[in-house]
Formats: sequence, C-alpha cells, structure tokens
Amino acid sequence: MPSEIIAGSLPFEALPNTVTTAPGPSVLSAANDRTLIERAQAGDRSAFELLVRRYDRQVLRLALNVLGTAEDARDAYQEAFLKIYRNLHRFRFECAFYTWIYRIVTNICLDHLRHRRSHPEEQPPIVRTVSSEERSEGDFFDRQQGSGVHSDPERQVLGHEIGRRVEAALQSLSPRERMVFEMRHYQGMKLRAIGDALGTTEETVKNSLFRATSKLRTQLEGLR
Amino acid sequence: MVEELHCSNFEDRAILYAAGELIEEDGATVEVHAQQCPSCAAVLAREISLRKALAARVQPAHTLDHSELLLARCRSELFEALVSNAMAVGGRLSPRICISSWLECRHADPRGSPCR
Repeated sequence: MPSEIIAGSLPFEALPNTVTTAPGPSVLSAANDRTLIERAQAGDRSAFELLVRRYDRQVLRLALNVLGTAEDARDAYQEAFLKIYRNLHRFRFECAFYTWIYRIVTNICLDHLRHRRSHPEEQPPIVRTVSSEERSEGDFFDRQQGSGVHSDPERQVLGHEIGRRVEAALQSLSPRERMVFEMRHYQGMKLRAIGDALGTTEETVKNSLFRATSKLRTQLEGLR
Repeated sequence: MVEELHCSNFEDRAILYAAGELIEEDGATVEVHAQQCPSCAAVLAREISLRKALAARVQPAHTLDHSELLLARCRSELFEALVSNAMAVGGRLSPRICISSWLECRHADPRGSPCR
C-alpha cells in the first residue's frame, strides 16, 4: 500500500461521520475519506476536489510509469477521475476508497496497453532487444551485485543503458503482468492489495509476478 | 506458513523473498536453505541482482513530471471541467455532461489546451 495514500487517509474514527453544518475549507481538508466521500456524493464539489488531491499524485505516477507518455497518462488521469466522479454515488464503503480508485485506474491503463498491443502500427519504435552476441559476452546479473550505477560517469552511462534495457524488457510483459509488476515494484503495493485492485486473488497476482519475473530475467540475461 | 521449501520450489520462493513478500520466518527459511545449497544460493543471488537492476530504472514518472507541472495541469483541466459543467446545469454537478464535454474538448484539440 503506497505510503502517501496511507498518510492521506486519516483514521475513520478520527472525525464524526455525519456533518450537520457545512464545514469551512480547513475543516474539510482535515476530514477523513468517508466524510469527504459522503459530502461529494451529496454534490459538494470542493469535497470531491480534496479527494482528487489526496490520491491523484499516485494515480498519475502509475499512469506515467505504465503508459510511458505524458499525453496518454494525462488522458488516463482525466478518464479515471471523471469515471470516479460519475460513479461516486455507487461507492458503498465496502472496500477502501484507494482500492476502488485503483480498480478504475488500472482498468483504464490496461485498456490502453491492450489497445497498443492490438494496434502496434500506432506505436513508436520499440527499443531493440538483446542480440545473441551480447548474450554471450557475460552475465549482467553478476555485475549488478554491489555496484552503484551513478558513482562515476562510466557508471552513469551504464545506468542509462540498464534503464533503457529494463524499459525494453518491461515492454515484453503482457498488460496484466506489466500492471502487477509496476504496482508491486514501483508503487510498493502488497500482492493482496494488487489483487483487490485488479479484482482477483492474491494467488493469481503471485502467478503473474512469477511469469513477469521469469520474462524479465530472460530479457535481461547477458546484458553488458 | 507456506509449503515446505525444496530445491524444486525454491525459485518461486526466491522471487517472493527478493520482492519482500515473505514474512520473517519464511524469509529465514529461504536464507538457511541457500546457505546449505550452492545452486539455490545462485538462484537467490540472481533474483536479488534482478531486483537491483530494476531499481536502477529511472521511472518515467520522474522524468516526465519531475516538477509536477503535468499533475498541476491535469488537476486544472479536471477542476475546470467540473466547474464549467456545474455552472451549465445551474450549480448542480452533472457528471455525464462533464465527461462528454471534456471528451469533446480532447477530440477537438488532441494536444490538449485546457477546456475553456
């Protein structure tokens, strides 16, 4: 579970659940999610905006990392929050609000990724994969042990190269594997939370992680 | 507690270990097994190295929106769409109109000047 999300969600018991008078902005900004959601469900736009500000940094970060372009991430952001807004009246507090948000965001990102796979002609050129010559020139993983890639210019170049190769390797994953990997390793979410967000079991997520790791290992083996 | 650890199921456990998904007790079991089995120790070292390589990746979010200007722009567009549609329907929010209006703006200007 992302730490910023935890920090933004005050304990449910910290504030009264029912607000009988309209609170000022400072009171609202300190309100817990439930209070804000209930006010937003009643048509309070400022409450909805506060909810957006509480979660949108993580949402945009996920979209940028997975989709890789500012334009697609921006589209995903808008689509997600408008969908959240449109469906807010359906939220019944049966799961954490961030889980519900992630469910919507991940579905939108998955749709983007699936569209790309089915329309490769619309995509920019993919970074080349590792050649057989490169594979034979040594073990990439051995060199990673104990190396600080940013400690000198040569290693900075190596760091950029590694980053480029990792990016290319991530492209080889299926949309679902990519999403699981992103949420686990770059968003810091636990497998159970990922399962909740993707509407599946922890076991299924675990299997996706195994497949993704195996593919990445194969892709990255033999890099210089 | 997960199933008993053998060389045959070590790789999956090593992946979970490197990902930080094992509880302390299961993690200790992995470490003990690796200390006693050179081939599994190599598997574990490989998984940890893979983790380091992946951590070296500069995340697109850092390069594409380091200063959070994109975040500010996204917020601005979203809130503007909410406000303009609220005004259009007499102060009451109308999500359906809001979405269709925003989509129209996006199609009209795909590079995305904010909706006016």
